[in-house]
Amino acid sequence: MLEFMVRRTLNAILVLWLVVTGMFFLLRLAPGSPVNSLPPAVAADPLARAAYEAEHGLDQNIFIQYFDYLFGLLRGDLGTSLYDGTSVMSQIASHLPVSLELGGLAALLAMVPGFLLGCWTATRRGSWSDGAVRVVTVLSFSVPAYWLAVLSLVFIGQRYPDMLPTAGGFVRFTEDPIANLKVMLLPALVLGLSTFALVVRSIRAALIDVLSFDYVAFATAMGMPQRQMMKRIAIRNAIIPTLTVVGVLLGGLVSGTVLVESVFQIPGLGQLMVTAFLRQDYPLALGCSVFTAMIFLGLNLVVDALYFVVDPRTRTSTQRRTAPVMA
Amino acid sequence: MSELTLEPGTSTPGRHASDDVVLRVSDLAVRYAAGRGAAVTAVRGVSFDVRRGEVFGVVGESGSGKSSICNALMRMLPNSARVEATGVEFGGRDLLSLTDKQMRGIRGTEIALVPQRPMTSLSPTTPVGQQLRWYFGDSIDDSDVRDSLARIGLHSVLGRLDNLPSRFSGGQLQRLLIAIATLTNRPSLLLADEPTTTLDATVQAQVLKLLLGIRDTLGLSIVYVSHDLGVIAQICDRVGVMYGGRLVEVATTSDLFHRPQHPYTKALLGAMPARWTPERGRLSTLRGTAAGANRATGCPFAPRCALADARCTEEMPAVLGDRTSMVRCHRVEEAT
Repeated sequence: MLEFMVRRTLNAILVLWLVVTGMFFLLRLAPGSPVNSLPPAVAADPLARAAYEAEHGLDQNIFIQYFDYLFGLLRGDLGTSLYDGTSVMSQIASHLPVSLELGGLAALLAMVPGFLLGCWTATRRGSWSDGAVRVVTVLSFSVPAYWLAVLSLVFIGQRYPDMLPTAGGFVRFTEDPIANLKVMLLPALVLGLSTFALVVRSIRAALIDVLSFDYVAFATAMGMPQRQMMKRIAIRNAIIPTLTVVGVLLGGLVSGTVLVESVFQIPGLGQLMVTAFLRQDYPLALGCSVFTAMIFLGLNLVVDALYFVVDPRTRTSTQRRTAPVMA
Repeated sequence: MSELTLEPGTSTPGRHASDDVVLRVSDLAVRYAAGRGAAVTAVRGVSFDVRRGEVFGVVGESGSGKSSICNALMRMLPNSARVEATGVEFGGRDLLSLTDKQMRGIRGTEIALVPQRPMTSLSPTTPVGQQLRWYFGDSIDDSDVRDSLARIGLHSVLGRLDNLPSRFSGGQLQRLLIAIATLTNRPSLLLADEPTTTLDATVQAQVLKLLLGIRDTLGLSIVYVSHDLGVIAQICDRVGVMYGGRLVEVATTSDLFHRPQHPYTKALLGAMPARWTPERGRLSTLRGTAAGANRATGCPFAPRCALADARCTEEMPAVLGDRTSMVRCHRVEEAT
C-alpha cells in the first residue's frame, strides 16, 4: 500500500512539473507582452518598455527565466504580479478559499443527492420513476453550464436579488456566513448539476451490475431483507467502481470554477486566473495554473488512498488477489 | 466422478407414505419475455413430488430448464419471467400465491439454496466472519455452533475469520455456504443448483458426502440439480430427467440406471464414458442438438429420437405412471 501511494505521489509530481513547463513556455510563446497592458506612457515608449522588461527579467534568455521560475517554485516563491507588483502567493491565498468553498459546496450538493437518487433508481430499474430519473439526468449533463448560469441570473436573480453577489458585492464566509451561503447557492447548483447527473448514472450502473452478482442472489436466497442486503452488500461493493468517477468529478468541480465565477462575479481563483491571462501577467497566471493542477492531483491522490479503505482486497498487495490454495 | 456407483446415497430412506410429501410441484411452467411480446418457454408441464429426507435429482443438459425450476421454487426469477402452475405446495402453502413478504420469510428459513459458484457467492469485500454473523447472528460465538462448523471441515476457516472470501478455496467456501444454508435455520428443503460443477473431483466427493450427512442428521429434503449422471447416481434417491423444458422420465435412481424407459434416458446412459467397455467400440453419441426442443409441440426429443414417428412430433405423450415414477413416451405407451 505504501509503495503504491509513493508511486502515485511521484506520478503526481511529474504531472505537476509537466504542467508548469508547458504553461510557462506556452505563455511566453503567445503573441503580445505583459507590457502592453501597462499604462500607454510605458507601453508606447520604447525606452520605458526596455527598462520595465529589464526590471522584471523579461529580457533574459527564456531558459534562464524558466529555471529561475522553477527554483523559485521549489522554495515556495511564486514571484510577484507584473501588473501591480503584489505577491502572487498572497493573491492566491485570498482567492483560493472562495473557490474551494464554491467547489466543496457544489460537490456536497451534487454527490449526496446524486448518490441517494442513484441507489434508489437502481432498485426500480425499468419502472416509470427510473425512466423519469434518466430523462432528468440526461438533461442535466447536456445543459451547458454558461447557459444555465445566465438563465438563473435572469430568472432567479431578478426575483431574488439577495441570491446574487452583484447586488451588494461579494460577502466572505468569515464576514457573514448566512449572506455568503445565500450568494453561493446558485453558483454551486449550476456548477454541480452535471456532476450530480453523472454521479446518479454511475452509481446506478454500478449497483445494477452488482445486483446481478451471485453474492446478492445468495443473500436473497437466505432471506436477507432487501434494505440490509443493499446496505451490507450491494452498495458496499458498488462504491468501488464509482469511486474512480467521483475522484475525477470532484477534482473537476474544485478546479473548474472559472466559468461560473466569471458569470456570477465571484472573486475566486478562476476569476483571478482569467484576469491574469488577459493581462498576460505571467507569474500570476502560472501560479493560478499550478494551484489548480495541485488541487486536481491532490484530490485524485486522496481518492487513490480511499481505495484502500473501501476495497480491502487492495490492502494486502498492489496486485490483484493471489490465487487461493486448493483445499 | 469417473467411477459410477449405482447404489444411491449412504442411507436410503425406505418407501415413504405419500403424506410425507414436502414439496409437490404440479404442472409448472416458466416463460421468459423475449421482447415485442414474444416469450421463450424454459419449463412446461413439470410435475414432481419431493418427500421428507429424500434427495430428488433433476438431470438434463444445459438449457433444459433445470435452473429455472430452482429459481421458480425460490421465486427469484428476473422480472421478465412468468411462472404458472396448478400448484407448488410446500408445507401446506402454495408458494406461488404467497405475497413477496411471506416468501421472504420462507427463503433461508424453510427453503435454502446452495449456489452453483461458491467462489463468487459471498460478498468479496467483507471478511468471512462478519458474513457468518449476518446469517448466524451472535450464536456464531456459541461453542456448539463452532463445534458443528468445525465438524464439517471448517476448522481452518474458523481460524481465519478476518480473511476475505478470496483467501479460501472453492471447497472451503462451498462447505461454508452449505453450513450457512442448512445450519442457520434448519430448513426442511434444500435446493442445490449444480453445487459441485466448479469443484474438482476430490472436493466434489467431500461436498456430496457433507450434503448426505446433513440430510441424515437434519432429515431435510434436497432437490439436486446437475448435468452429471455420475453425481446423480451417487447422491439421489429419485431422479427426474429433463429435456427441452419437460420432465420426460421420473424413476428411482436404481430403476433409472438399470431399467431406463425413455429413449433420451437410454441415449444419455449410453453416452456415459463410465459405462464404456472396450467390446462396445466407439462411445455412442446423440445426433443433433437440443436447440428448439423447448418450442416443440410434440415430444421435445422427437427430432433426435431413432424411434420417433409422425405422432411423436405432433402430440406430447401423456404421463405414464404416477408421481413416484413416470415416463412420457409414445413408444413405451404402445409397448405396455
